[in-house]
Amino acid sequence: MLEEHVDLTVLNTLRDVMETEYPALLHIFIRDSQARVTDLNGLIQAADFSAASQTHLDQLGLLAHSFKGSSSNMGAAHLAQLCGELEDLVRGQGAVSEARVTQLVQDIDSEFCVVRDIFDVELQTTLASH
Amino acid sequence: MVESAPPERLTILIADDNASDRMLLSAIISRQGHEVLSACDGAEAVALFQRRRPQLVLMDALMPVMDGFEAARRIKELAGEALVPIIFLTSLTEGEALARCLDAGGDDFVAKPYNQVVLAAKINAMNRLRLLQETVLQQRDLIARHHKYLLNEQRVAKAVFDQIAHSGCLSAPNIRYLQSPYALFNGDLLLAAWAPSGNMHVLLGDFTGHGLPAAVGAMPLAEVFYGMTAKGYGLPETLREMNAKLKRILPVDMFCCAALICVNFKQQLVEVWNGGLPDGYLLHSDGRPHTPLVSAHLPLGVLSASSFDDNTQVYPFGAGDRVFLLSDGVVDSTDESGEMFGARRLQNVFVSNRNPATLIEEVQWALARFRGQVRDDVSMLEVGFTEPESLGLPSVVYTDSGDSSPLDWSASFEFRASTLKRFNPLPYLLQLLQEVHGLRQQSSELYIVLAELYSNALEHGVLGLDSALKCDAEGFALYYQQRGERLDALEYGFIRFNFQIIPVAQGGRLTVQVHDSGSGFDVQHVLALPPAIDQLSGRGLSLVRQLSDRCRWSEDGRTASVEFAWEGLA
Repeated sequence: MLEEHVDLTVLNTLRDVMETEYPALLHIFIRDSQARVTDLNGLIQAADFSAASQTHLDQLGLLAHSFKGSSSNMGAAHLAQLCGELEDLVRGQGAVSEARVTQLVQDIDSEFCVVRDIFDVELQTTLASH
Repeated sequence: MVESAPPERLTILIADDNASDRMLLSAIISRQGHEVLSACDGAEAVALFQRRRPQLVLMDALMPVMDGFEAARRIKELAGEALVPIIFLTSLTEGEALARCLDAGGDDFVAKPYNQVVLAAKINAMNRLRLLQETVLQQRDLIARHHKYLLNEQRVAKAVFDQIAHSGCLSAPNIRYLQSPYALFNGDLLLAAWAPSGNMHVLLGDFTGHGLPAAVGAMPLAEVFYGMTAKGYGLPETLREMNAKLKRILPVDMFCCAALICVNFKQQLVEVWNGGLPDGYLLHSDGRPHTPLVSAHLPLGVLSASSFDDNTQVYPFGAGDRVFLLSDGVVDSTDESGEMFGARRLQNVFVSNRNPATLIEEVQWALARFRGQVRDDVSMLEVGFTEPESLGLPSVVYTDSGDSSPLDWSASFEFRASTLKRFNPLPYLLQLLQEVHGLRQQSSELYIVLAELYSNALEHGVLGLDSALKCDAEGFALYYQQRGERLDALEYGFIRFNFQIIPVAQGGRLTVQVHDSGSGFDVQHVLALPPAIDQLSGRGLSLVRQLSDRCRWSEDGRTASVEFAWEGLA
């Protein structure tokens, strides 16, 4: 169940590499990702949002690209995959479906909630063990 | 570099706007033993690069403020010639974006999620590339420094050499020449000097090899040439000394092809020795075909002193006649198909030449047309005849005060057959006379008169040669052939010099008697002849009469007596 969201081998490697900075890494990832999800939602819920606006699509693309990278580094493979789908969608050729964008942002949001919970627990556990 | 060696500690710049990615990458790179500088956008990365000069950059492509592409471009510009590898951190998948990374100067890519092993391998590979470039640059700079050093050495060597080589009279109005400014380092050498007699000695030499090895022999050769010429030695003695010196100092595979000529303006003769240079040419003003001056000897510095041959050829040489000498590189120039320029093409230039002043240029043009390009490594030399009056006699500078000048003495010398064969006593005698301060003013005249009396005593007296032979070019050659043969075969005979110096008031007087063992000549008859200005013979006696204060011959024609007087010195 947990493995579908976060790759535990990756977490083990991160713990090993980061040593004492491991909790800080978890904390920063949760904080920055939260900000990204907020930004994504903010963009598509804005009154003037249009899936036909290149500026909006570029902003979505940049956010999705960056989020994809950091999620993959943290072992959140499914979250990274959803971000990749959003990036591909907004950077693809032809008209972009606003409904599909909205759907993907919602999927990212809910996947992030799951990942965040897992990392929260991981953070508490790590801090407690020190 | 050995693969298993511990990795070098590098300073690596990481630029990524994503805090968690930056943190993770910093941790990975630090664990691998490198120092990490981190920036969160392109502008910060460029600023950090300028300040800290990291050796390698890991850079995210998409960043706010300044993206990775622009930052990469600027960093490459700042790095200049040094290779600062830039590895793009990206999960970009489209070809177009990857191409943009390369265009901006990116050297490699690393995709997210990071893999420690892949990262370490790429950093190592890029560092090897960086070190390679560094080595190449260092060696290039080293080569450039060496080159500059070498050029400077050559410049100094040339300057020193020019001081010696140009102390001569290459600028005399009867000499034209073509020589590359760096001929010294092609091994080519051109020297000209006045002898005290008013004769002119000219040498064209071509040392084996190129560069400094070819140039080192030039210095001693020039020293001998100028030293011996100034002291009044003739070609044979000078050649012997040059050969012996080069033989002694040069390695066996080094020698100097050379032609040496002596122009006697007063007697209108040219004496030539050619050892190993291409045929030179005597160009006649009267329309006769040119006479080749063929190399009849081995180059200087090859033979030991005992087997060296100093025999020279003597030719009549008058107004409008010219001697043309050239280094190899003219006739053995080849065109694209490998055909040589050859002596025939050179001679055709002589035939078609109308204006003597442009002969060297015409040879050069013919050569350039033949090869399709101009050569600047050949030397050519042309020596013409000029009336001696227009050349002016050389002045000699003395350094001593003359206070110790001997003023009342006499001395006699007798030179016998075996000495006459191989020794020229004139420079020795002249040096003795120059101890007398008052005679220095007329040392040229003194030399010419002594040389004339000596050669009369030797050739007509001791050797019994008939000057009437020298009435045409054929007889001329015969005369000099006989001279060589009779000198070689000489067993008896002598020439005596008797010098007497006496003080007269504030000045003094020198009396010289030259007595030979020959059969004498009909003094009355010869002196009654008009000065034979346009003939090949007979110049000697009128010259002696012109240049000395008094001169007379004994009745039997075996003793000549001349006087030189001088006033008190101011």
